[in-house]
This record gives sequence, structure tokens and C-alpha cells, in this order.
Amino acid sequence: MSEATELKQHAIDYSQQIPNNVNLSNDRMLQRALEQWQPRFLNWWHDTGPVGTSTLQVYLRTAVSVDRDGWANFGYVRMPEYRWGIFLVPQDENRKVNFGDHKGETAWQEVPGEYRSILRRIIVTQGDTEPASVEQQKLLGKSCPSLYDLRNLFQVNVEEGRHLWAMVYLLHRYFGRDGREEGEALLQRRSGDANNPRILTTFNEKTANWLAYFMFTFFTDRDGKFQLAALAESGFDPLSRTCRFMLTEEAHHMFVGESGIARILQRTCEVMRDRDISDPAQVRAQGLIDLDTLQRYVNFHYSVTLDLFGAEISSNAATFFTSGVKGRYKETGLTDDHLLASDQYVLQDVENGRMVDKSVPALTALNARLRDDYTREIQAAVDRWNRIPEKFELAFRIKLPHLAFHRKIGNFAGHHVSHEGDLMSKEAWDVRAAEWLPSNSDHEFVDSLMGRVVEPGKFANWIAAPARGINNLPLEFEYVRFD
Amino acid sequence: MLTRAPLLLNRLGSVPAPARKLFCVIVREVFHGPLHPKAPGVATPAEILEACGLDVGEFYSLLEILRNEHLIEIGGEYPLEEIRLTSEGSAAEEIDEYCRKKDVPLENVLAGLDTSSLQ
Repeated sequence: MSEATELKQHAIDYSQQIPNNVNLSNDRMLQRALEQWQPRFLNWWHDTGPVGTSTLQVYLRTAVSVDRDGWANFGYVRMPEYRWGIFLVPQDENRKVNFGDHKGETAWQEVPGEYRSILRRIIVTQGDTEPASVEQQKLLGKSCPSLYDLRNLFQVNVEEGRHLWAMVYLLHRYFGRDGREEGEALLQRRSGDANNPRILTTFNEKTANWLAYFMFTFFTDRDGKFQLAALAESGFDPLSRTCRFMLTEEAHHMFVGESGIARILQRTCEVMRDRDISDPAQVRAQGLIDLDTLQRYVNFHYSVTLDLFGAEISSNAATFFTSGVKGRYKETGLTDDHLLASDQYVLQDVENGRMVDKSVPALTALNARLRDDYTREIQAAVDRWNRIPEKFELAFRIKLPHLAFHRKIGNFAGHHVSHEGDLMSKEAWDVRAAEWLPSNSDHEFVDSLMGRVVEPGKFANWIAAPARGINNLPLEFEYVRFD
Repeated sequence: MLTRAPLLLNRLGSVPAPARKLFCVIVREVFHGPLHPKAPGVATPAEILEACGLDVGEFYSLLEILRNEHLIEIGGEYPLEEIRLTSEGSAAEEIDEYCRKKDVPLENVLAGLDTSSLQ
């Protein structure tokens, strides 16, 4: 590829109605179709986006290039005026299909007919999660713990909107009328709507408070990251290129979740040490989230997110892999033959009332593998979190529950397993569930802490600032303007 | 005149490219990051991570490389670290000022090690 062509593919053309780096103006029919979809997207944002924010000026990042090293500008913008667009990483003409039956073939620039149906389903399912999270979070601005956090929420929201654009572009460009119809349906489904809900169950739950929001961005968005990473390996090159850029934006969303929980931990542990208190009731009396409640939220959000990876044994996942449509996490870095014809994978199951390890064909266990990759990354972040109670000389440590705990999909569905992996009767589990999962009174308590803090430099009592100012002066950058 | 740049660029030559890219982001955030007031010469993970596409885990791995190369120091503890340029690393300030004056992307020099625009 010539340097001039490469530079052109990096740069995003903001002069067009729909910013893009895919030469949209060269395809008048596609451009017209997307320009007709655009006002319906804006209506969706107005109807279901962050409530009461259309006039706020928010200090937001906008992609100006798909080069990860210098890809964004920052500035104040009213969110309805945010320049949502279509950004793919540059095409590598030498890219191959790197796994499955088509390994070694040139990567596909059009949708192979035999994989049209599965690719459409994958893109629609991924695309559906993007507006869903915006809908789930639309009221959170009313209880933000700081302007810094409010701005981060809006940054995540606008980028989820952009991820919807990313999937809708693929549907319009590569799936004809079916794709356009799916693009309309993506704007019509609503999180939590009894008649027209979002596709995945988790995306129909409300995100009721900021603790749940940070948990969602840490645990559930990260499932999205791993799904995108597997799709970034796709032999269907436009999907791969789309997902690779989405991962750049998704990285900061992960940070928002991890750092949000870390800051809550920091604040709680700080006060526990300073006031020499450890009883959860005493901690709550200080207006803080106690550590046991935090652990119960971890147990809930981790376990429901594990279900998003699907059943451990999946013929669909095997088909996605052999067809070259969806690879493993960091597929090209793996040192096997990328065919898995005779490979095995060890996973856990329940047999005769006992937890057992089983060796199964690796091709059938791809969901389990992706979930295990996810858990490894989650554990590394939990290890970072645990440096916080350690530095305050507190014995408490956050612990991920057993992967069989509180599961409704796959090998452990229908079984009752404690947070430590002990199989038990339903009755015994029900008696102890309130120890392991947030109760209604836990939710009520956390909700009671949520009060809106929008004074520059100020942070709610239950969460630490993201950094120290000079001489512990409050940080005073005005991330959101209300004029 | 760039007096300290050659030594820094020489040092950066032994640093892997992803770490050089992170170093470039850190330099930018140290001198132009959005959080105020902060001590001079400090960048925070909050500023750095929103300005680059790195995962948190990857960020900390690359940070360790830069620390081992004595280009940065890390003060404070997770999650409130403060990243400072060492005396060697702070030579990046004159490169940053030069690049701004000459409208040269800082990445070309610090990450790409392209010194042609510094002549």
C-alpha cells in the first residue's frame, strides 16, 4: 500500500454529513441510505439517550484518525451535535483468513454467501448491545458523583452510539435490504421493553446506580471487548477492521469501570483505617459502600456476565470458527495449527453431584475458552484492586466467585453452587443467597447514597477523586458546562 | 536549539515501539493534560488512558518498561499513581516545544524516532 493511500485510510473525513474513512461519497446509494438512517438515529438518541442533556457542553474525545497513537481530539460539544461516524482501521491487502477451514485464503472483502446468515446474526447481536447500554444508563446523569464521572459516562455513551453506527454500516453495506431492515430494528428495540426487548437478557436490566454502572463497564462491557476481539480475527475483513477500531475506544470504557470501583474501594478503605472501623454498619453510617456489599455486587455482575459467553459446549461456536467468521482471543498469536481438529480443552462440569474436570474437543469448547481468557483478565484487575485494602492494612480482599456460582446458562445451569464452588441443595442455597448476592436492602442502601454532585472539583463522599491535586486541593477542571 | 534531545532519542532507540508510543502520550499529558491543579511534571493514569487506546493491563506492562529504562518514575500507589518524567525523560519537553513550534507530530519523533524534522 502506498504511503499516500495509507495516510488517506487513517484520516477521517469530517467534511461529509457522515464522517468516515471508507470513501462513502463514492457509493451514492449507500451514502443516501445511511443519511436517511442518520436522523432516525438522532431521534433514538433524543428519545433514549442521557436524559436532560441536550444543551450541556461536554468535554469529549472525537476520533480524528484510526491510528491508535494519535487518534483523538478533545473539545466541548453538545452531545446531539457529536460527529458520529464510520471508522475502520486501514485495509491490509495481504491479510489472510488465519484459522478454520479457509485458513490461508485471502481475507474476504464481501460476505461469502454460505456465511451470510451467521454473519448477519453476529453483527446484529453485537450491534444490539450498543444502544442497549445507553438506554440502561440514561438516568445516571441525575445522580453523578462528580463532573469528572458525568463526563466519562457521556464519553462512554457517545462511543456506544458510534459502535452502533459501526455495525449498521456493515449491515447496510454488505447485507442489502435485509441489512437495512436490521438497521431499523436496532433503533426500535428498547432495553426492558416487554414487547420489543433487546436481544440479550442482561441488556434489559436497568443500571440503577453508579456502583452498578461501574460494575457493568468493568464486567459486562469487557465481555463485549472479548467478543469484539474474537470478531477482530474474522476472515470477513470489513468486520475485522471495524472491530479493531472499536477496541481502541472500548479500552477507555474498561478503565472507567476498573478505576470507578478502585476509587470506591480507596475511599472506603481510607475511612475504615482513619476511623478504625470495620463493621459494615459502621462503614455504612459514614455514608460509604461497605466492602461486603461491594463483594456481593462483584458476585452478581461477574456471574451474570459469564452467562453472556454462552454455553460451554457450543456447535454454533465451532461453526463460527471452522467457517473463519469468529476466531479465538488473540488468535494469530496462538501457536497451534489454528484448525483444532484434534485438540482438546479442559473445562468443568457437574457429574453425579460432583464438580469434575472434563477434556472435550477444543472446537466445541470455544465459548468456554473465550470466557476463561476473560476471567484471566478480570482476575488481573481484581489483583490490582486488592492492592488497595492491602496498603491500608485491611484483611479484606475481593474474590471472584466460583465460575459455577449463580449461573443460568451452560453446564452449571440448574445447579446450586456456593460462591466457593460447593454444590448444595436449592433450599440450602436459598438460605445463604443473601450472603452472596445483593439484596433489596443492599440496592436501597446504595441508591440512598446517590446524590448529584456537579460542583467543579467536588466528589461524592463515597468515591475518591481520580487523582490528587496539589496539596490535596480539589481538582477543578470543568468537564461539563451547564450554560 | 535541542541540546538534550539526542541523548533521549538514543535511549528511546532501545525501547520497544509500543512503549515509545506510550511515552509520547505521557509526555503530552505531563505538559498538557486536562486535570488541574496538578504538580508540574505529573501525568495521571486517568489522563493517559483516555488519550490512548491501551487496555489497563497493557498500560501497566508498558509503564514498567519505561520505568526500568529510567524514563519515568511512578509516585503514589494504585489507583492514584502519579507519573513523572525522570531527568533523562524530561528532555522530551524541549522536543515537545520544538514540535509545537514547527508543527511536527510529536509521535513522529518520540515514537517513530524520525529525527529528520529536528535538523
